[in-house]
Amino acid sequence: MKNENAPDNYIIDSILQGDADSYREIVNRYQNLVFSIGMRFFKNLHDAMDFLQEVFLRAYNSISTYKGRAPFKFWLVKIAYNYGINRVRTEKKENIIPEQLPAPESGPEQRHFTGEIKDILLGEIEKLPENYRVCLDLYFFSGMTYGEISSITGIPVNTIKSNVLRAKQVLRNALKGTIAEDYHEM
Amino acid sequence: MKCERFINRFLELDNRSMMPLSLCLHMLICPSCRKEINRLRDQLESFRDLHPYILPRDMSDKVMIAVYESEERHCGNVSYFKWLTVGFLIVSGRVLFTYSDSFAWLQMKFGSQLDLPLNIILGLAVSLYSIFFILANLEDCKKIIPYISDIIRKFS
Repeated sequence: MKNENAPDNYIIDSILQGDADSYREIVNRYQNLVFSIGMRFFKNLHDAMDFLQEVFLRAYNSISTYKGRAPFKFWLVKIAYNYGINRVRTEKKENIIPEQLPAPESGPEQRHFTGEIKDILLGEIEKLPENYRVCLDLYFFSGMTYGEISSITGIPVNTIKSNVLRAKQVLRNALKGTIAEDYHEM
Repeated sequence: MKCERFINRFLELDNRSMMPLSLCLHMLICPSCRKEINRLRDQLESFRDLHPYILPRDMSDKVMIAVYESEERHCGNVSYFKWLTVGFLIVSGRVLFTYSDSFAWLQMKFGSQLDLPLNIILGLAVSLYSIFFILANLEDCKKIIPYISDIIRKFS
């Protein structure tokens, strides 16, 4: 609670000074992000939770290698992505049945159409291979740029760009004739 | 057709990038594009900081237990550069002390036999400093012990 509003770099400094408890705030901040990456790779609640625990443990053990050149979030996502892709390669868990999980909700007036449109976007993302799925999540939900995603995943910028463009076009078509359109006409 | 080109230009924009001037101008004169682009932009912004999946329960306790059980401990590691700099300052302090007024005054007071106690103090300081250094970097020191013993064996 003491680091609730503190910037990531401040928390990392206190962890490096021996205050391991501060790491709880980092976990609280990014557990949904890491869990979402895990779900993208494993499509399975149990594996995604194991993945989350392992990613945070790896990040803690190598936190002294974080130099603060890029935001901590990118560094953490890179650890998660590399671990996820390696684990998928070794375990070959492609044929696991996806589980349906509750989606986050926004403000009451947005809830109606945002949920609907978000499902369409998620459906579109779901059609891609798992490494591209993570790229689109990072673009749409974490607000990262093509360059940042490319540096994390190693996937060429143009490939990410074309997948994002396709998803945006699907969104555009989905928005036509929905409550969202009426909402903007008001 | 022209409108379609502008919409595509908007769709190709990266996160956190500025809208091109031509697109802004087109939006000023074309109400349907303005409406569509604003709608798309609002929709894309509404996704920001959401997550495609939400964790069904808080995992921080479980992660923290794993962290406490892990062998890794971060305890304010001091870089080797800092260790070496301080070590160098201790030794050079002793050398430079010979040229100071205080040393001249001490020599006047205690005679020319001052070097021995001063060197004993320096020896103690260096020994204590080395003990602190080894204790603070025990894991790394353990790793270099075989190399040092190899070197000693070669010369003996």
